[in-house]
Amino acid sequence: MKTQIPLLICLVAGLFMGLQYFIPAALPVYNRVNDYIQVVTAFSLVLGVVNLIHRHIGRMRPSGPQRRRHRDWPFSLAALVGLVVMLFAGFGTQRGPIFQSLFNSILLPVQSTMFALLAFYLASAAFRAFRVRSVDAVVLLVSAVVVMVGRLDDGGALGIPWLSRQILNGPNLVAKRAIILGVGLGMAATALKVVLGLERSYLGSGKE
Amino acid sequence: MTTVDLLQRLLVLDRRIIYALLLVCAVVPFYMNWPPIKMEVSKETQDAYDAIDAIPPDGNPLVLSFDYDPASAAELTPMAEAVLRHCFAKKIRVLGISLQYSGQGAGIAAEVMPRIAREFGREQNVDWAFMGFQPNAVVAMLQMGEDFKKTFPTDYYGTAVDKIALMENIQNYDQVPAVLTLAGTAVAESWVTYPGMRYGVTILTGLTAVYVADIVPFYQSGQIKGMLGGLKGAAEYEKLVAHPGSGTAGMRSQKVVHYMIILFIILGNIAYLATRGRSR
Repeated sequence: MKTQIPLLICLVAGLFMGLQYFIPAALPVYNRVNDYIQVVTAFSLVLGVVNLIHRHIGRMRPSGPQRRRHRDWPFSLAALVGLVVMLFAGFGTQRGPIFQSLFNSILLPVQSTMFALLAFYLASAAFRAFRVRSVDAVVLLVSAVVVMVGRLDDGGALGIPWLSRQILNGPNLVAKRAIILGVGLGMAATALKVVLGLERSYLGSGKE
Repeated sequence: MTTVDLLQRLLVLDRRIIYALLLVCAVVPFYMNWPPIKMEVSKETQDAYDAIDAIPPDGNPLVLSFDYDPASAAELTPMAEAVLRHCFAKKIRVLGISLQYSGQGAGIAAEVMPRIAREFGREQNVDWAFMGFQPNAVVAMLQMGEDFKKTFPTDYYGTAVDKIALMENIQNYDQVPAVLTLAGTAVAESWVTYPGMRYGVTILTGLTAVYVADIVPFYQSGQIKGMLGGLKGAAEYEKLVAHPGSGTAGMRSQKVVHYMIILFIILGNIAYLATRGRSR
């Protein structure tokens, strides 16, 4: 029963969601199922927050034979303080000026900075690793330089923007289409296996 | 010291020097009007502009989905600002939403939309509205195909949807002339796959440059009607609305940084080839 009921739910839900596309009369049920999915998603968000709190409190609590805190416990404290402050700012002020100021002044610059660091690593890596060691590497390097210049406002006289578009619309497109088709077929096959109960890894090992 | 010795030293150049140069190349052009930028509007950007321009004034709204987080804001917020300026200048209504999984696009939209609306004196809930974030992007997209009001029962600020004048005539995608998703993740692909294919909605995209290569097949197949790609796309749209902003300023930085990286690649390869020949 522990396995059969989830498999049955999966079979019915999978078949219904596949077939409803062709049955207009199934629309009310389809809408209801979408509501259920949103409710489940909302629960998963709550579960995520609970998991986050549990994990970081665990790091802050002294443990082990020497009763020592995890060495990164101040970061856990910062994470929890951030969570509580944003929760109160969000719920308490109806996402008013305090919430928006915290978002604009802290989260926005911090995340942007993290992403901006990528440019530094990229520049350093390009200098050290982009070497013309083989014909393939030369093709890759020339394509990269053409696409990089193609993203700028220069090179029109040399036809670089045109060449950049040809690379994107030619070799890139062919490769991407092949990947998209492959992934699509793979997804359809996996979905079918899950619906028919041939793929059961989502049920867990059953040992817990 | 011979030239080859110099090139050998170049091969082991301290990465901090590269970092410092990159910092200067990124920051200085952004705040100075140099180097000059001469944008030519690409077909993808023009298509997006034309699709939005064709929306009747004071009619059904363009849905603008802020599907990105602060990491992509440098590229996508200039697009949002330019598109909003275009819409508000032409009295095209805008309905903002956010479906990016972390929900942080909502925070960005809540800053950008009121600021640009104030520039043009556009009234909240009449000329524009921001409905906030919904988790589970794909399901939210499908729900909007049946009932917008059920998907967003209140706006971001807690106002009931029935009290929002802009939403009066909106039932589902049939009343939406186009959706523009600003995205740096696979959310853009979901917009094409679900609302685009199932409900026949006109999908426009504004993407981070790195994501353009992934989405180009959908533009070429006609499933996406217009596409803004990276800072270049933002700068092109700014040119179309005759309001150069942070997209154009960012293009200056991008231009200098790209040339710096290309120069480093060339120098690195010259040094590599020269020293390789010597070792033989």
